[in-house]
Amino acid sequence: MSLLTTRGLTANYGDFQALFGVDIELGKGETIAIIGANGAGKTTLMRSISGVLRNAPEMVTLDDKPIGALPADEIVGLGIAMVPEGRKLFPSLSVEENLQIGAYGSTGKGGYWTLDRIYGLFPILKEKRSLPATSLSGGQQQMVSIGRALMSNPGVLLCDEISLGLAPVVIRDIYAALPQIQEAGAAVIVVEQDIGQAMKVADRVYCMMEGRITLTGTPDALSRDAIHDAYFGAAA
Amino acid sequence: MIETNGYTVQTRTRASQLAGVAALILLVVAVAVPLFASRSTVQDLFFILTMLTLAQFWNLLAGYGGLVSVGQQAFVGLGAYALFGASILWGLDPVAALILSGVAAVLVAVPTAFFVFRLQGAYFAIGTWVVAEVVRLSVAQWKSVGGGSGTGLPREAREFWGVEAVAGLFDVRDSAARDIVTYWLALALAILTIGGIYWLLRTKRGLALAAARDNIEAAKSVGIDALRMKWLVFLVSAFGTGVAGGLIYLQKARISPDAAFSVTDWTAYVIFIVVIGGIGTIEGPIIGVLVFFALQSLLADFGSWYLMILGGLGIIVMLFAPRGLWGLISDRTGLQLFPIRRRLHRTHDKKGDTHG
Amino acid sequence: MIWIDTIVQGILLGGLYALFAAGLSLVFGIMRLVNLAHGDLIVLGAYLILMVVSVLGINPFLAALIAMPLMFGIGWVLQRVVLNRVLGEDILPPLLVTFGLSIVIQNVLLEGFSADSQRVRAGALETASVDVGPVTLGVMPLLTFASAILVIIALNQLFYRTALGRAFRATSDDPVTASLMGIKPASVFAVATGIAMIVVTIAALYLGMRANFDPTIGPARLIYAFEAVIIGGLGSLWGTLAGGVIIGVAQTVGAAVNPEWQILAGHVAFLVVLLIRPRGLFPRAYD
Repeated sequence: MSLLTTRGLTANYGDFQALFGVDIELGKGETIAIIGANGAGKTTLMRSISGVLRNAPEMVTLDDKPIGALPADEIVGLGIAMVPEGRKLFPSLSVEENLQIGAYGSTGKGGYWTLDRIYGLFPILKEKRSLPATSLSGGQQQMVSIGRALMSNPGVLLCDEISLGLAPVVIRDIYAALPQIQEAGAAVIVVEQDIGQAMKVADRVYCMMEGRITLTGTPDALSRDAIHDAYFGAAA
Repeated sequence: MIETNGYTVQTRTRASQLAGVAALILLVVAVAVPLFASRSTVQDLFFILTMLTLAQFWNLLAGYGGLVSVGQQAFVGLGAYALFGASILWGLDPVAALILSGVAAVLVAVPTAFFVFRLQGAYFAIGTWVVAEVVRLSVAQWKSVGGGSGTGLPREAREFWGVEAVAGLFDVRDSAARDIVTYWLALALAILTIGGIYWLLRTKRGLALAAARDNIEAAKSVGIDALRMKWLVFLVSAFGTGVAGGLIYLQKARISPDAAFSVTDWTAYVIFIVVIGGIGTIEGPIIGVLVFFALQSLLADFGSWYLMILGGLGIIVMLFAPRGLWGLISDRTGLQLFPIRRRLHRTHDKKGDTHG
Repeated sequence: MIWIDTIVQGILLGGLYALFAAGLSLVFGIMRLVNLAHGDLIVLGAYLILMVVSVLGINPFLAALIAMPLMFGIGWVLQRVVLNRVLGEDILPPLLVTFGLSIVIQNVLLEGFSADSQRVRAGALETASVDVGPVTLGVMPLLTFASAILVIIALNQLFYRTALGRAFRATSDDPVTASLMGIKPASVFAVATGIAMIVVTIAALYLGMRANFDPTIGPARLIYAFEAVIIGGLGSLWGTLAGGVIIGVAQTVGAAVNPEWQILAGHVAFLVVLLIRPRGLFPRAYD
């Protein structure tokens, strides 16, 4: 039984259509990866699910309930949290305050993730808790962004390009935290341009190109050629 | 029109050509108005024309230049006081002194610009307002033109260029003749203003201006000197506003700092006119001033209700029709009477062209 | 020793200006909203307090307490219904809407209360004074200054120690990402304006007790408020106090030299500070 699905999801920016009927499924406790080149529509998909972009209600369902038209602040209350592309930390807030504000929409909900547990997951953040969040290095900021999303104890965690702009060793450190996140019960959608990393962590992979799903399957079932074609297009 | 490689750039529209003809007819009628209209009509038209001039310059500043100033009243007052000062202290004919009105405004606009251009957005707006207040308070110290309580135009100055001739020609009293001469001057000023602004916007500079207003970084990247554009627009608006201010107070023949530098009369009403009419268009202020005048005539007896309605109307227009009445009209009909948009026209087909 | 007295009076006057400015600073800092009706809202508050005093016969301080929730409501509705719709990149719509609002408020008050000067009577407090060393200080100005300090401390506590304050700062930084945290920017803005109106009520109390007021004095208060906020720098409430004090001292010193120069001196001080520091004295690191 899937937790989150999209059916025929379309999205437009003014006259420009970015998604042409995208269908994906996320099961409870699953980790899926969405790969694709720049402009394929991955972030648009994330924004549609998280409520930043509003769509027709039935296009996105959570536990079979239509949520496509809900605004972002209500969606996070339903248990879908986003780690946005580019980290988007709040410059006016310290590291600790950025983490605290992640729990704003879900106070009293309770759950595994607390401030202390986030510090346990990313110890370096505890050292830097009172510093302005944007004064940290890129990798540390990514940790804050992930921690911030976890603070709402989501059932679904959306990770939009968390490896962007980071050195390989830092990316490794960040993805090393994923198992603990999965163990705490969240289903995860990982959006990546780094195919290798995506294949390592995902139960299933979706490949997107120009607003459409071009390939889907489990990592071992997909050949390099098939992925190449789906990523770049057969003519490339 | 510019021709390159089989394409021409055209700005003329069918509607604008018709409007051009209509405007010419209107002009002839306007010049002849004093022949058949009553004195109060001439005064009303004077008011409409001068407010229109002020509105066009504020529109140039804010709508095209992106410089939202709440301090243009400084230049109205400066222009007015330059005129009064020149006639009282130097005995200069007020009509000749109108040029000084513009010059005085520009002289103060230069240091003002140096200062306010360091500020952005809301800071810029408040900065211009404070500068205007400083000018007002400083001028109120100038005893020879009446200080804080103001003064009237001296008798000799009231017989300015043209008054005697018109009084004789039309067989009217001197005060009526004054109204007629100032009316013609206002007409000339309004036409020069609209014509000048329209011409400016059709040149390369106008295109640069619109580009700088829309996206300053992109504009700079194609070599537009945004700062130079801002200076140009600021100084031109100051000059025009100054001349208008001088003319307005020449007609009133009486001045005081609170009146000449009134933020309500010379900024609030002007902004209202531009916004209701449609900011960023030449047609907008024309519609706006007509609406404003209509409202004022209908409601003037109702004191504060008039202002309440004005304020309320401004709020409603801004909420629901931010491009003003002209914006609504031109959105519906695509009409452009003062077309500035440049359209590409194919002049002849080229063989082998697959793309349109 | 007349200069010490002048400067001290100026500092206390700065407290009043800081009170005028604090609400503005809050709203400007969170939403970049230039509310040209702010001064008129203070005057509205003063009339509200006046009405409560005359109807209930209680002292002005209690009346202000009663007026506060009313003013909060007015601010909340204003933001939700009108101002939220014009927030955005363009500075012109909020400027024009609040300008229209300013005109409407002034004229509603004129119709309702006439142009007569009014005063909120505070009895003995109006003339009471206390000797502090070489200077004699009026109790009212002292109270005003003390209130300004208390208000700023309270607002800072709100901003930096509460979840709501975090929400204010986050929404001010990035409303879209704030909504990803479960924050409704529209509601946050409405609460912010409501709180600003509470501060406005306090400012109105002291305005009303200190001197005569009538429906048209709003815009002048607005200018002083803005000058204080801008000198202080976006986002700094203590900066706003500093700004108020600078204007206040400039005005009293100017007045001591020549009474006609009082207001001019304040404006000149504003321009001088801006010339040296276009973003104010204590601006946020980024904007």
